[in-house]
Amino acid sequence: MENSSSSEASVGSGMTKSIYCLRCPRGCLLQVEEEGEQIVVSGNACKLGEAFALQEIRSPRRLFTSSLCVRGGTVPVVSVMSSQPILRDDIPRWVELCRTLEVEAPVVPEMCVAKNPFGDGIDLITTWYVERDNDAENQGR
Amino acid sequence: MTMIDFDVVVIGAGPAGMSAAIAASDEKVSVLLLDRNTELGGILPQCIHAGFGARRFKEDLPGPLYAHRLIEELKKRPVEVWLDSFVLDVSPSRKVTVLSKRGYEEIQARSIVLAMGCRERTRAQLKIPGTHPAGVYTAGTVQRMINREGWMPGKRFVILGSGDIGMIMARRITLEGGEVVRVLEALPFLTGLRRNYVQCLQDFGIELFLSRTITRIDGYERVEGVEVAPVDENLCPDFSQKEYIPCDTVVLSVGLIPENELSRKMGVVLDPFTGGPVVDQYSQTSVYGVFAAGNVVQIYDLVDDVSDHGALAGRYAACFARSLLQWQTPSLAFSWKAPLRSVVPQRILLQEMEENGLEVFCRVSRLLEHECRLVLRSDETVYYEKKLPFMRPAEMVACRLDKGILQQWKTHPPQRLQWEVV
Repeated sequence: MENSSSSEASVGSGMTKSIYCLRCPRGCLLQVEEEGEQIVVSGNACKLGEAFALQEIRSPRRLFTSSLCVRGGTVPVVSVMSSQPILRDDIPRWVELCRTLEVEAPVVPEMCVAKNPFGDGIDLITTWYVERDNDAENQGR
Repeated sequence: MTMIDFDVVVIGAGPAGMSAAIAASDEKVSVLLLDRNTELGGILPQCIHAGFGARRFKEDLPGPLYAHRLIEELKKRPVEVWLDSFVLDVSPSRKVTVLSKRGYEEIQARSIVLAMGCRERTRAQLKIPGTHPAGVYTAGTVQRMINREGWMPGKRFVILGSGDIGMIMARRITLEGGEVVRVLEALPFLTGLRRNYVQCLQDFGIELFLSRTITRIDGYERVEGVEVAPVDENLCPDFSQKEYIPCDTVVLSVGLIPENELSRKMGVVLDPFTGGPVVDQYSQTSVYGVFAAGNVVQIYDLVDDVSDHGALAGRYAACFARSLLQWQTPSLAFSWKAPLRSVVPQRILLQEMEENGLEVFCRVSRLLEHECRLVLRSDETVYYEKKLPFMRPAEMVACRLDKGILQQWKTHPPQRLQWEVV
C-alpha cells in the first residue's frame, strides 16, 4: 500500500500529492497539485472531496473517539467522541485527557464531559448509555 | 402455555432488526423485536469509532450514537421489545420459541424477519498450525474487551487480516498504549475500506504487509510469537523467507460469516457464496412468510445499507402479515459469471404491485483495477449496464434496476438473466 500510493504520487509534476478522501466510504483517490498559493484538486467525485483535500493538505483533522472510566456503572467504561473533528496532531493530547477523566453513572448519550478542554471550541461528549449499578452499591455498604 | 400472537416478529435488534421493526410498525401492524443481548444495538455499541451514518443521518457518527438514533426512532413507535430473550427455534409455520427470564414462551407470528447478523471467522476456520495458547482473539473480541469491558488483552500485538475491524483495532490498541508490531494480509490487496487504511494505519505509522501470513503460532500458556512468511498468488507460503516475530497477542480480522443456525434449522435455502439465505427483492427467503435482512443475508460494507435492507424487509414483512401481497407468483433467478462472486437478491418475484424498481448488490472475487462494465443480459438483450472505473472485493457495487425493466419482464419473461463483467 505504502509503495503503491507513493508511486502514484510520483506521476506528474513533483508538486502533486495523492491522498484518499475520507469524507465518505467511497474513498476517492484525490490528486492535489500545489502551484504556489493555488491548490488544484482532481479525482474527486463530489464537492466534499475538494474541501477535504484543502484541509488535509493544510491541517488534517480527524473525528476523535475513545472511552472513559465510569464510576458506579453497570459497565466500567463509556464511549466518547469529540464534538467536531480535531487536529490530527492533537490526538495524543486528547488521549491523555481521556485517561485522566472519570464520569459518574448514570451516563446518557451526547452528554458533555469536558467543555472546550483545549480552547478550540471542541467538547468531549459521550456516545452511549451507562446505567447506575445499584446492586454494587448495596453490596459495598 | 398461552400462545402470544404478533403480526411481525423480528429476531435480532441490531441496525437491521431495529430498522425492520421501525418500518414494519409504520405499516400499522403489531411488532415484536427480540434480542438475546441485554441492550439494543447489536454490535454497534462496541464500534466506538466514527464513520457511520453518512447517508442515513447525513453526519459522521460513532457506532453507539448511530444505534442511539435508531433507538430514539424505535421508542416513538408501539414496538414491543424483549431483551435477554433467546430464540430457540422457529418453525416453518412461523411459531417462534423464546427462552427468557420469564421462562419458555411460544409466539405465533404472521411473518418473521431474520436479522441475526454475522459472526467472525476464527482461528479454527483458518487452520493456522502451531500450539493453542491463550492470546489468539478475533478483532471483535478485542474490540469488546477494550471498548466495553475496559481492559487490554495484551502488550505486543500482531494483527492478521486487513479487514476494517482489524485496522480500526490497530489504531485503538496504539492509542490505548499497546504496540502493534505487524498488520499482515495474505491477499495481495487491502480487504477493508481505504479510508480505514489511511486514518487507522497511515496516520499512526503502522505498516501493512500484503501477501504475508502467519504460518505458525508459538507459545505454551500464552502466545510467545508467530512465524510469518510471504505467500504466492495461490496463498502457498514461501518458508525460505520466513521470520519469527515475538508477540503476546494475535488478532484475527479475517472476515465475517452470516449467522444462520436458525435459518438452517427452519429449512431456509442458503446461498453458498454469501453464506446467507437466498432472497428476492422483497427480502423473502425460500420459506413462506420468512424474511431476512442485513448481514444475515450477506456481509455489507456499510451500516447504512444494512439499515436500508432492514427497513425494506420490515416493510414487506408487514405487507405480508396484512395479506396485501400474493407471494406464490413464479419468480426469475439471477445467474452470474466469475469474477462476480455474489449477487443479492438472487431471485426476482414478478407480481402486480407498486414497484419502485430494485437494488442489486454485486461483489467481485478479485481485484479489477481497470475500467469494467457490469452488464445484466439475457442472451442478446442487455437490460442493464454500469461503467465502473474499477471493481474491488472490498467494495460492493449497488445497481438500481428501474420499474420499466420489471414491467418488461412481466410481459416478456426473459429466458435467463445473467450478470457479467466485461
